[in-house]
Amino acid sequence: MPFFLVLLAVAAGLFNPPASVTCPESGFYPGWDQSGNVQRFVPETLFNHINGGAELFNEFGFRELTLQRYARKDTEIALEVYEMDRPESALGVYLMKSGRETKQTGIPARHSGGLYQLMIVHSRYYIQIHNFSGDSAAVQVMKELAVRLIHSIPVDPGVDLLERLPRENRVPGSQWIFRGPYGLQPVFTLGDGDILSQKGEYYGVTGDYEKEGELYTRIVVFYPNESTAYSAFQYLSDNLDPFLTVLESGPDFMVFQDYESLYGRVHTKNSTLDIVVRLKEKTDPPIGR
Amino acid sequence: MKRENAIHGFEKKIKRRDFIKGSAAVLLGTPALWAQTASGSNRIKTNIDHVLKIPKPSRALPGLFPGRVVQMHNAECSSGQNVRSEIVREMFRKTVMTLTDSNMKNSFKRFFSRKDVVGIKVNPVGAGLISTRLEVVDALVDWLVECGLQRNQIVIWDRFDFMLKEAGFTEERYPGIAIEGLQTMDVQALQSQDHSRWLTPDGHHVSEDQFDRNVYYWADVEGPEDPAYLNQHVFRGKYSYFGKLITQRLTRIINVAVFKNTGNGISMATKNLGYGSICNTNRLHQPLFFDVCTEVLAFPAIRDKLVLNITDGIIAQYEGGPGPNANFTYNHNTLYAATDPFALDSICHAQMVEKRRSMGIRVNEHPRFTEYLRYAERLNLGIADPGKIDHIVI
Repeated sequence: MPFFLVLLAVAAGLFNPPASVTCPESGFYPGWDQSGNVQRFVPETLFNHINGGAELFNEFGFRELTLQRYARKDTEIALEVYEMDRPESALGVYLMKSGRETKQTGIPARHSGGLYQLMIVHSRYYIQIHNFSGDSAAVQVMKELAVRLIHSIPVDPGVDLLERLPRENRVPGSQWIFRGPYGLQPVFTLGDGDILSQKGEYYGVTGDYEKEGELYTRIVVFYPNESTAYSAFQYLSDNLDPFLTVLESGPDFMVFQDYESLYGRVHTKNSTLDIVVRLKEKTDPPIGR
Repeated sequence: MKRENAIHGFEKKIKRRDFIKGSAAVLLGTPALWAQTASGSNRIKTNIDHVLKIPKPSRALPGLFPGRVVQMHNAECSSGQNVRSEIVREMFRKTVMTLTDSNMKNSFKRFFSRKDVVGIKVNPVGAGLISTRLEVVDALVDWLVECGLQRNQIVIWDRFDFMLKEAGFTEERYPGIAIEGLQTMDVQALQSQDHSRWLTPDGHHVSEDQFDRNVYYWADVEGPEDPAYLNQHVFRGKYSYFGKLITQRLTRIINVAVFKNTGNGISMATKNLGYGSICNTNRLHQPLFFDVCTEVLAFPAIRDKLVLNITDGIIAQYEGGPGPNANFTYNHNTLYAATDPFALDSICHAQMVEKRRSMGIRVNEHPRFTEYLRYAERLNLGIADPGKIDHIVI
């Protein structure tokens, strides 16, 4: 999808109310019934459900969580459906939550999980199914619940955001999406707060690369135009983390050394910020200028 | 048994300090200024300077054994979610005896008197999956009772009453022992819009009186004006009051945290108390986060009463914390003990980094994620420097 269409879709999403999903009814699997009423959480109340973790969801454009428990005798499973504003956001949350993916058979969407939990991304929904007791008999029930839910959700266009990271030398499975400081935090610290001026709108992608035994990380943020990208570069330059020492800089680039004596380079070109960090050598940075 | 001064990852960090020691040295004069830089130049003000003026008794933090951390592993301790209580009991006894270098009876005498009211701070988040194991608390309670404490002198506590119940800390399980949350929270209220169980007709949280208006962590940031926040946090202004249980009733505290992460950092000993002893905390996450783990523990209500820290690493979680995430839990089968929660967290942070790295999790080792530990060392609350930590592995 062209990037301007992505931006238009983001803007449109802001004005659409959440479309609550319908959870599978009692009896979706023999002997399993809904337990308690459906609960719904919006951005302002999400911290009541995941205290300490709501910020990440909200940063990614969280709209509504639907929570429904199911039980058979003493065994209970819980379905959590997080509606995000865009498929890119749902995938972003999924990639952050899933770690190394463990596949199950028969689930028609990208997923990871095992005995205790299934994590699924489908369209603009991030889905978690919990099996709190670890009862192995509930695994098939979790799958059936997932399949029914997935089939009830309309399919959105696929996400090609990750493909905008250069493929050459990329470490498979290391790609990651972020939309602000909480998502960027596990990758690298460039400064406080919204240091890349993403404003909760602009996506960034990151991945690890390996070239001639050297492992480094690339971070690319996509802005709507060159001037916004340049402003973001300026803000980053002015507010760079104090643990990073600038060695060289110009109107559209800077080179720094980090707290581990590794090197990094920031470059703005077209409508992106292209950042490479954890380089062993200062010279010959692996980004084109 | 072997002694290790430092874990691999943390040694690296110390070397990195050469890079920053120049700026850090300038900041040693005033703790508040140091803290300001620890979390960035725009760090908001707190009342830490006032608290630091309060005289400190000799046995206050870092306690009887500054910088000593005992770690014991037993692969037979658990399998899946099944925990073998007899092994946990033995591990608990060995870690405590190694920490104090004496038997259990004398260990008790070093920490407590028979007149003490002892609070056991557990972590019930992620009930059954990643919460403090009941078997660890069983071993603790048995020790206290065997050494002469009456059951009615023991309180198992956390901030939230409903979480304690969910995690199995009930009066049925622990007869004669008080099970107390600092506050109640009605998780159903936002759905039902029935606020009567937590809100009085004149607009106050029913748990207000359970917090001590005279003992507070003040920070120049306010909580949001909405019922959801008040339901969970009791107050919403710039004051985070300590629970009266801590300030008025408990005379000694045992802290039983869980081995788990929170983002790039850890949510273990210091966070269990830092965010578990006061109300109105969500406002603190963004601007202060880990600094709260240091500054709240500097208050006499914690500093002078906390005598023992156990980190329950029987079933641990290396990613997705502080909430439960079954995909990242594992049988670590390890218990840790220390009087010094900062030394304990220093060791555990380094081990968490190694675990995350070994599992292919992204690790950002920026010094900011451990700065609160060095901040605590500068406040003389604990030892963070791995070179000074006496790490005993059984």
